[in-house]
Amino acid sequence: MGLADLSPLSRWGVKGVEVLDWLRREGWWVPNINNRAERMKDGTIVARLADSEVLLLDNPAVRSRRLDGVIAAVLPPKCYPLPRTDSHAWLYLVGASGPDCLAKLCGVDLRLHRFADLAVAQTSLARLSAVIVRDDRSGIPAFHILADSASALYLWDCLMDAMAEFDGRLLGLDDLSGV
Amino acid sequence: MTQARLPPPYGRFIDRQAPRTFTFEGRQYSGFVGDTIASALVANGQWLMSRSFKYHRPRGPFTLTGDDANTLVQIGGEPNILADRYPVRDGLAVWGQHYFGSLVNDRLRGLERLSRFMPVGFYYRTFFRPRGAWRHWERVIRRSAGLGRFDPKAEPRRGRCDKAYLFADVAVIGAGVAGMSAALAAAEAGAEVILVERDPEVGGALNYRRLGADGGEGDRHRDALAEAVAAEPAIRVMTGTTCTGWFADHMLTMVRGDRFYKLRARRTVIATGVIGRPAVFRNNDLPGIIHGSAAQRLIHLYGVRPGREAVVATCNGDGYGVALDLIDAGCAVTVVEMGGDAISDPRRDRVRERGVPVRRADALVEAVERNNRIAGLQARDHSAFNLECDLLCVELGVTPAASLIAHGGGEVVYSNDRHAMLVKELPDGMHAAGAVLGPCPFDAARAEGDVVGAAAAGDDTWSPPRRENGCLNHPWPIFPHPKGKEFVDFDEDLTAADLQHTVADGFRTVELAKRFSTVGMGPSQGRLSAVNAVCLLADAAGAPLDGARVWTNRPPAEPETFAHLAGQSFQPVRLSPMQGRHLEAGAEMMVAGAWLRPAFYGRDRERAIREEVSAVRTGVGLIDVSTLGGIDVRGPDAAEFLNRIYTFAYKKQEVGRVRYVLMCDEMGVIIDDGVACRLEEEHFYVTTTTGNSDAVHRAMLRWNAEWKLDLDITNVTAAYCGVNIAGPRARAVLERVQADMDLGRDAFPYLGVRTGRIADIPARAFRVGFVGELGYEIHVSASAGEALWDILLEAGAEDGIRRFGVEAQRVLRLEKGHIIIGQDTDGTMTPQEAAMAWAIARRKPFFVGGRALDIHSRHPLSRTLVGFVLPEGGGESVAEGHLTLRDDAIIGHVTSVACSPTLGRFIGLAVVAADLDRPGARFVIKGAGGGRIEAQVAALPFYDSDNRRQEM
Repeated sequence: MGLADLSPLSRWGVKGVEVLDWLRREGWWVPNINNRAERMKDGTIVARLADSEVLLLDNPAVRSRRLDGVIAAVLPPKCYPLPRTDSHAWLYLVGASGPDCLAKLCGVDLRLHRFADLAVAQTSLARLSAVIVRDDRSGIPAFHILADSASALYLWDCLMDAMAEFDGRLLGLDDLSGV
Repeated sequence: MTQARLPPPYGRFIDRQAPRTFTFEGRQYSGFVGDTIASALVANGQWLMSRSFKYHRPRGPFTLTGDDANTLVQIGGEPNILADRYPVRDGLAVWGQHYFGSLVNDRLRGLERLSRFMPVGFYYRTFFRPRGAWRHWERVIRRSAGLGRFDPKAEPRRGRCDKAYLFADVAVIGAGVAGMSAALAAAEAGAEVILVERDPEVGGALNYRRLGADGGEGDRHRDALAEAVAAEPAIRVMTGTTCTGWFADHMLTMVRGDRFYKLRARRTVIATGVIGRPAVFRNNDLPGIIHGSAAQRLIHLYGVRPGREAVVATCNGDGYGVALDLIDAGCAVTVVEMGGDAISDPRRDRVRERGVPVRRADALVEAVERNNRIAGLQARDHSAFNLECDLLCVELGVTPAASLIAHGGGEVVYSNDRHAMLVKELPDGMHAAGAVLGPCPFDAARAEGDVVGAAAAGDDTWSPPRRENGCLNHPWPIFPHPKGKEFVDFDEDLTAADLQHTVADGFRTVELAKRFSTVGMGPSQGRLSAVNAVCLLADAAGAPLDGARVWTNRPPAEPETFAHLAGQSFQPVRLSPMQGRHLEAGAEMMVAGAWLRPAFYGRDRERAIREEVSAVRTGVGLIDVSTLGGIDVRGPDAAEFLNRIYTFAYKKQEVGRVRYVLMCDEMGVIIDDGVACRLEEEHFYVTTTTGNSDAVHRAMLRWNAEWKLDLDITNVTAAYCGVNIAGPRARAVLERVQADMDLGRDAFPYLGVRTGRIADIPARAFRVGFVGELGYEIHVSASAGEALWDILLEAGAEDGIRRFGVEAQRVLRLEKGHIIIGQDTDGTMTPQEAAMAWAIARRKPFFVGGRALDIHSRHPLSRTLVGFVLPEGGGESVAEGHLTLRDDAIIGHVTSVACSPTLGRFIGLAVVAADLDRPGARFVIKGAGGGRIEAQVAALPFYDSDNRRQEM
């Protein structure tokens, strides 16, 4: 298994009562229920966190122009952008042992048959508030982890430590492209 | 040394191909992989393992399961390790504990001769008189009491402990017949199962108990069940794992190796079986007196012949099974049959067929001690008779291992029918099966496991069955002796007489009796002693025994080490984007909430602070304020929301202006402050104190859940970082950096806020005066923070710009009389007391805490926060927290104090009586070492009283 730092990539959030409808009008596949995600054709992830909040994640392999577009768009009234790129570090844990590794840091059941591909958990990870989105790559279980950017180094160390017993290693973007 | 090892197939747990050598009390012993320290020691004839708590009596294993505390030993710097649970390995150095002299010749053994002078409750009665006596006795008692020696400097014997969560539909605790059957049935019904077993292998009593006359039945049953369990993919088997507690919603705590698990299940099945019940008779605690099941564990699990001449005292067929196992292992055996009912069991018939002597007895009179071990037994039928022996196996009953059931609120009471504790009622949603519910032969346990497992998987309600099987327990295995020493609680050296005296002293209920006598309060937490104690207490109180309950049983069911509980602790650390730059510049970092902040830059603290303060006052300084919380409040009701949640007024605040915010709780107590920047009509950017952004954000969300105002509240603390460039040269430096905003005094006045680009970085800039100089606080996205920091330092080079840290900032703000929430206020201080009534907008219809502040304002103030100055030479002994006095009466405390480089004297803030709130008033500070320093109240601010410098 491995851990990649996707923090340099784009991610964006938006809140507001009109958000879901607006994004759908803009052609985004917004899940019908909270704590679920959809994978767009270009690999962008649309994670619905609440009735009025959505998180968008770039494709680690190919940068999404669609995401750049929505970030630059003029929002309708009562829709509020969230600076996720700055507020949240973005790590990507890849490998079948991911649930066992995360079980050392998190009290939510993230086992593969209970936390399906594109499931979303808003939880606590190593005592940090975190959003976890399962986004498998070529059938390999993988988890996006978004948490307080000011604690990024702390979380990185926690995950590296938790991963050690599973022979975890660092992953670069090229590694992800090859998966 | 000759080992009492038996040939295979004895020794199921040991690997004879893997010998291990270790030392005990400095002497070398050998064992095998799979041995525990205790099994290896007994194999070498070493039964003495520890000394008792009070009388320093010799002790050895009783259960061989770790349920008694007789095998606590010391390994390195760690005391209280259960020798019958800890595996041997090469080089292990094990020591006995709690002795003076040597383990074999403990000089304090003589204490037991004074036992009649040390009755139960001895400590409570004795050492509190005369006044002051405790100081003397405490030293003596602490030296002789306590088990083992903890060396905090010792290398930890464990690797690093950590924690992990586990999840299952059904958790089955205990992998004996019932447990394995329940796990299989639950899995068959579609449940995911975790099967937890304390021993290294599944099988439970099947691994060592003799079910029939021929032996071997247990192996066959175990092999069949274990094979089925191993083949079932829905069952995860966790052997070598101790379940230590059951908590609400089926959260179970477990220890395996260096890991502490928290298992969350939908249902729990308790199949923990039974614990051997000791008989109470004189010298019943000697090494070599064990429960029958312990002898069978030694024989079958570790291949150890436990003695040469054995006596088995029993009242049931299991005891005859023990006798048969001992005979097969080469022991000379005598059976002492006790109890009123005739035993009908094929194992008894087989013992008689083999010509083993069987004696009847009404009572066990006393065990004979020789060389710290049993050497004989006196029993009594019509008359007393003596038996020579080096091993006494007591098989007079068992008690359910029902701790986990009790944790959940299940009811465990004494049953006169069973002569034992009985699980009367299970907690809602908990299931149980097998011997823990009462005597249960193999077929019944199997069938019960099937039913219970399926019920647990299906969330079905289920009631414990009423057992029709016979009673295996002696009706009263308690045999008082005129000379005493019949121990009920081995941990605490409590005798039958001690419990009788406890009742006589008026402690008649089990809960009170426990606390007075300490029965059940030792390391084994009463797992062995409870049933005999309940019998004795009821008997002494003349209370009915049937239905008598034991004291409250709380987690942990078995010892947990601090290492496991502490485990890997997670302490999030937040770092500013400029952290690397601070370290490069030689910053001394300090903890501020979850953040690390530069305290000062350089090695000489005092000098650094002085120079940093001076730079801000005379030139320009730059501080990282990224740790301040940042919250975006956006929407049509944003101003109304701020009006309600803060004490000031915000509806009329103009766009582009900054206003102070002060937050109180419902009681009117100050809990936070900061500023509100109105960026747009419907957008405020609010700052909070360092480390408080999450709490303020939560409070805002909570209040608006009630108010339902039309707005969005987003915590953007980590998204933005901030710097404050302050000092007379701040504007000049900033003007060198390309900015798309007019920085002039009129265009960008004090308490103004502007958005734009500074050095081409999108920024929110505002003018505040926390340090009391011309200053600009600039907030940019976190990813641009380091770049901004570098640009400003470069631009300020020609003005000698200086980084300054938290320590200098604290001095600077103190010179201006600005408070720090949490330092100058406490959890009770109101704005009036903090001399901040000016921050309350009284005309508002409502704000949080307003009602309480109205009530406060109707009463005269009793205390207030004032500025003070100290006479020359008086500051060195004054520190924050020191008491303020008037006529020896405490009137408050010092909240801040520092030597002001600007003013050249010590200044501070302190809480004093309200009537002292006038410049020139005097009060006393009780300084370090009790010295009294007279302080004088001073007008605030100390520096730049007309605030011209910050408004430049």
